[in-house]
Amino acid sequence: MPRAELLEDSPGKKVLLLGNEAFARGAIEANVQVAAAYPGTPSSEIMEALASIAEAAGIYAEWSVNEKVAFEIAYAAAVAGLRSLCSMKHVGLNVASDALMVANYAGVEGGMVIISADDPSGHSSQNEQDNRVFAKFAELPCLEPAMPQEAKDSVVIGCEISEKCKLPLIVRSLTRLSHVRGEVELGPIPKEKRKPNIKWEITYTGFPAPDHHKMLHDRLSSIVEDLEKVPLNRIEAEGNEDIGVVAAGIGYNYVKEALKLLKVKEGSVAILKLGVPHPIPKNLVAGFLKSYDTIYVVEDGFPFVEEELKKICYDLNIHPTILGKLSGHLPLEGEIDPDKVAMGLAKILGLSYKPPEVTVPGGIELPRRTLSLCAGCPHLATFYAIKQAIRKEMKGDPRKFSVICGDIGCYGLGLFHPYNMFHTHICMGASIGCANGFAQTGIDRPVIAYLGESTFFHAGMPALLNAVYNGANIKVVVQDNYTTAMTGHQPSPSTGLTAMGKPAPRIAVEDVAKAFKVPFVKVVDAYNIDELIETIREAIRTPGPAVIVARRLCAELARREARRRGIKILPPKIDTEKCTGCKLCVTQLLCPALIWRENEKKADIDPLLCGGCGVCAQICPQKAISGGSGIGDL
Amino acid sequence: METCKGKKDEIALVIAGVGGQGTLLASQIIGHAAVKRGFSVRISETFGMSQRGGPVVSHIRIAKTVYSPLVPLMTADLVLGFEPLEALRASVKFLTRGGSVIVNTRIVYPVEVNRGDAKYPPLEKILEALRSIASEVVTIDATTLAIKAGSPISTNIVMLGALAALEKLPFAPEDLREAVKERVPRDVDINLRAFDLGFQAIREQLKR
Repeated sequence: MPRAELLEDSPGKKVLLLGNEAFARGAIEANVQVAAAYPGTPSSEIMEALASIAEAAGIYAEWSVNEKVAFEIAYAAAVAGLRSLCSMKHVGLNVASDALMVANYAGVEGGMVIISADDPSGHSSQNEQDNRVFAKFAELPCLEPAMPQEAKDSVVIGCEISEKCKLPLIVRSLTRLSHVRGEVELGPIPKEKRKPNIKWEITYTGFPAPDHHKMLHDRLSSIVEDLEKVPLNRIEAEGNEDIGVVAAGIGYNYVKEALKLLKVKEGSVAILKLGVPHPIPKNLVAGFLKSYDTIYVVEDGFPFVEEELKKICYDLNIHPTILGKLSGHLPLEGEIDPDKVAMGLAKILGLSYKPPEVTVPGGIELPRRTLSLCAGCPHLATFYAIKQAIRKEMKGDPRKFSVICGDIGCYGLGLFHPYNMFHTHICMGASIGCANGFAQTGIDRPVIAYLGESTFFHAGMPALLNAVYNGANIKVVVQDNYTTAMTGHQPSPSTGLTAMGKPAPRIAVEDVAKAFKVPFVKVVDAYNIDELIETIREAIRTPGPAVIVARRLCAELARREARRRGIKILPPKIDTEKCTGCKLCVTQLLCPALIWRENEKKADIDPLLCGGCGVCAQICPQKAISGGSGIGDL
Repeated sequence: METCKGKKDEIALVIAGVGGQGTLLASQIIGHAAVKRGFSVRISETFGMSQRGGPVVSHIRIAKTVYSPLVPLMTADLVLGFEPLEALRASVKFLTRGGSVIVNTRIVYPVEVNRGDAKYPPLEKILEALRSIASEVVTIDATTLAIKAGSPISTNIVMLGALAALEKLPFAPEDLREAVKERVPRDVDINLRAFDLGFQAIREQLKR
């Protein structure tokens, strides 16, 4: 969605921005000219916002094929003296880390900001890693904004600091910043664009390592004083208690709220708001640590600042009691919130605070509402076909008679009940990698890797090549829905459009597989259930690696496309005379539009949800479902 | 900051619904109106896993200065429920006892219920439970009103009209109506009609 505010040149005006939009606005104010990303919740809207205005702003923005490539693009632009940005979710930085761990040695000329969005509680993620640790690991400066205003400011400040010390800089975001809206005061937009300039006399490398490692240390030391003065850090109130609170990043918001919850007078507890977790501004922190007997560290993620402060105390030979995650005053797992921060603070202040107990009045049982794949989703059809193929071929339960390795995307829901598809679900591309491994154990079951095309292009390709070269007997099912659906339909190499809306060559998974010399490559319409089942069975019977591309546009996009083309969405009818109530459709296809009518003991179709894909009609053993039109007719 | 006469100068509200119902846009419109009036705003959105069908909750804080984007347990002044079950789920957790609830009575069944694995409580029971914890529960068939306005997609705007009619926001109903116009440039007529229908429906209910 292009947003007028993102390019509005009215310094001082306050607008409502999503944290991620604020980062994008920051990039414009910082004069970032090249930006690259791979989508991942909660970071995706940064590049969505930037790409929507890139052309108008005269800058370059792209969705790269993965985070490592995105990082390298931003890195090269910064070497060429431009300001650049790359953004990714926390685990995306794992993918980019190979480049990160040398780019720090090699350094930059223009300012380079890496926005890394953590996801404590794993709202949309497979782990809770805290990427401030990456800043320490790579020995790079890191900023930790607390609110959308600071999100914008941190890109501007970050670019300046990065450029001054010639090191890439990490800005740490989290779900509760990236996905928080708040008022943001706009700053000025620079008018002058830079010209790329590659210095002939320098080679950007880590070699020789000790020399470049020293250069990294020198550069990091050179910026320490600037980091002390960053306006994201400040001491609020001296307080009249002998406790001081160190509030890192978004922890600050919860501290302010917790004080209100505890009815503690404003200003009576000292707060050090910390916006630089690495390297910790030692002078600022030392003064604060010396002033209080007890320090309460409030931070989301790992006890990162807590441990850093303990080290500083050792060096200073002072011994305040430092409380936080390690002392049990905050949990080590799951995101923090105002109630958790208040509980910890109450304990320290000797107050009593218990968050209210939540009970449903009248003893009503509230049914859960778990996430589900959409009505008509081609992943549902493909899941069904795989299970049926194994049942038919192996004469038994797919969980016991095959190994299915899952991957990252909407279809990651296949991990959960009622889908129960996967034996493993690790990280981007790991479906094919793990399948390689299971196959080489000599297990006597079909080994299947399941992934979407965006994930295949991201990290699945090397593992497929590996299977061919090393002869792993694996069956790879790629559901090509022409988009990166999970994160909000960003283009994949199969879409044929760039982030900036320019046409691009469509890359077909089967072409890649054939080029890799996969001996069995077939493309099937994911909505053609019988053909899909038969093709998977054939692949299982054929020794050696196989790739089956189950192709169908994402059902969400298909609905829009059907509307555009004037195709009426009419759900099929269920003939209640013919329906025997076998429940195959409701329990095996698992389409949310299929409803079980308990009183009638018959299946039914929700006309509002149904997209008219026609898959349920194909699988009904009684042929009780017929008619209808919609996304199946595309 | 311009607080309207006789209004509290801050509010914490929670919008609860199901993915695809337009709750996020509704919260943005409220936030936009508040910022235009000079308030500090924080809205925290849970996107779920970006798919449809899961519960979606937005926390909205409006005040002179706001810090936490999250509403502490049982402190929300108002819950705007786009779906009865989700209205109750969110109210139990976040509504301050004695607060207000607006509920769209149109039910969206969870897949668990569709599959026959769980039962959806009767609507009357849900409303009864809400009344036992809220001092004010107003119901609205927002989806039908949206269809009347011209499109079922405008259900979220009907709900905003209903919210404005309750006069709990620290700014005038007209400010919110204006924000709808500014924030949703498409189908302005339908959306304003939807807003007005929601507004009138609640006003009439309050008169009775």
